[in-house]
Amino acid sequence: MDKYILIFLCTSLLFSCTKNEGCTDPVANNFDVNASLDDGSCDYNNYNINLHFTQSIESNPLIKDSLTYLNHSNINYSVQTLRYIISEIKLHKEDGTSKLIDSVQFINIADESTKKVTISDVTDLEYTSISFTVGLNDSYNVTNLFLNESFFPSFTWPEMLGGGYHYMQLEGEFQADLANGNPSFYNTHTGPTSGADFSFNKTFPIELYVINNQTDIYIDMEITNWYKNPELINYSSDGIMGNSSLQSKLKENGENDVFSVYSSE
Amino acid sequence: MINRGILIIFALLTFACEQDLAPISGCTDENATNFNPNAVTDNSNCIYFSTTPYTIEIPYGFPNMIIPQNNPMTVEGVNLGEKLFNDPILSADNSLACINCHDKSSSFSDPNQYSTGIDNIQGTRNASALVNIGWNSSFNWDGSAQSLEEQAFEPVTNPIEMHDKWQNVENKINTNLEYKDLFLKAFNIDYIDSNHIVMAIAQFERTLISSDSKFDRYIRGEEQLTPSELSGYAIFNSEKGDCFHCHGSQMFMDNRFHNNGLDIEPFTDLGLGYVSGNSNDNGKFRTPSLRNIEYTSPYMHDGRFISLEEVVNHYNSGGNYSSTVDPLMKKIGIGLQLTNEEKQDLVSFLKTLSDENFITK
Repeated sequence: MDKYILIFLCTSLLFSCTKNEGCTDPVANNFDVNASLDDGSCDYNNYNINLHFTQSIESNPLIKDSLTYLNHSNINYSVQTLRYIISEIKLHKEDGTSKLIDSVQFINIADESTKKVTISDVTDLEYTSISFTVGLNDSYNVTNLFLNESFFPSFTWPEMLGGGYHYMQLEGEFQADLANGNPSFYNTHTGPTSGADFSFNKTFPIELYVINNQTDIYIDMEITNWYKNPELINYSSDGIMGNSSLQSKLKENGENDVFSVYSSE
Repeated sequence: MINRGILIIFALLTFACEQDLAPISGCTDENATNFNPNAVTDNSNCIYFSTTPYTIEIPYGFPNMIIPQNNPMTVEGVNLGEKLFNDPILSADNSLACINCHDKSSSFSDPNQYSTGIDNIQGTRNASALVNIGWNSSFNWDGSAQSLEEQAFEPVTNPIEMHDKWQNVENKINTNLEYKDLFLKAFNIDYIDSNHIVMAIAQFERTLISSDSKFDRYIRGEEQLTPSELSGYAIFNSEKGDCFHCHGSQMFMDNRFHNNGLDIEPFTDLGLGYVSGNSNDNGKFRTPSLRNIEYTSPYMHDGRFISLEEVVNHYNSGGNYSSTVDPLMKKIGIGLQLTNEEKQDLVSFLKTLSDENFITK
């Protein structure tokens, strides 16, 4: 054992004579242009990126359980349940490099702690765009892959319907005439119907503003737009988990203008 | 090592000074359970506290079981917990044990609609089945307990259940030599307190795992389902039956609370709303696992349905609208509209979740 330590020390000495030691990472605060051998002394600024997941109806923050919203056909509706998965959240630089900041994020509007995530291992903020997947793409959406995540078992998508997990559970009441009878329920559940991949990617430019080493990014879902632009979708009490054509329309609307990203100033 | 050295030196010194007295022989290692501080010569009979770890085998498709760090599973703890579970010593008049209302042949539930306590008073809810409850994130129909340990505290003192006092239970158990020995071996304690009593019971309850039903054997490719059972399985997992949203995955439950349209308002039992104080939770109850459902009649939090056919008929008729009814009950008042044959298929499938070994072994 001692022999190895001796050899290591000798080797280290040998190297120190021939090369300059120091911080060799240009991103670090103490980057040493003369150093050719990294000595582990690099000092970085660590930034916190706060990712916020927000939900809106007609540009206003969603009010849960409120049967006061009107859809494109003047049907009253409410949102009682909204849970969804955003995955593969990446920040990109102009030079084409990117950083994965969150692989799978489960958002449940009934649980505040799921609506914000802080990424703390960020060492520079030269990012110009953000991308993410709405739902889980084929490689992630595998039965039993996420047994220990908080969205198991309630997000399970039965094997018979394609297997894996829901992308979104958006549920609430709808009623044409509030004065007449009880409301009905809609269940807009998206996911891998018949094993097809209905997840989609979105990319948005971003400008990051830093205050006290913190920067905030907001990923907003405009709920109303799932049901219009371009495809008009009406509320129904029928399940849609086996309905590929509706899943396809929801994907089309989702890709169009359901999501937006902004950062704080 | 150093301690032992000091002890030996001390022993030698003592020995040297008091040659005329016979040295006390005993265990001289203070890490041993029978360390004798007066012993000067070691008699090689030191007994050390050690337990045998109990390994939970996680069934296919189940998540890891979350076990409290301060209550690791041991063979000694599990066996002790089982003994306590079966022992009426926990009740004031020594007449009622956990097992009396959580009957093994009923998958550890009560076949009676309501359980009867030691004072012949009945409750208002059906005693839950204890199957795979190590994966539950809350306990009781209304979620009033957050851990099995916490849950086990409650029935002992509940006036309509065991109606005892914990101090009295501690007194009884501490005068029982067999328990003294078992608690020493399981937890290394001399005085048995209520915390350790519920810890042992919780350990035992975590071992109540069922994963060897006909359905499990079908999933493992060891057994075929009949055409009727397969048809029921398909209804269960389609939005036609839409059972899976609450009773999904291999666990057949979702660890959540729902109002499944049993009653109109005002509710006689607020369920989760009683615990949370939030009126939006009124009428919501914990989803039970459907494993061994054939054995756990009667059904629902208040045991209102005797047969699985009645349960299926409830969903088939659509249930009642109320302000907190779950949006997953999307055909409220209309129902699933299954044919008689489809209803029978669904019941046949539910019975494939029966694990005979679980209730007999």
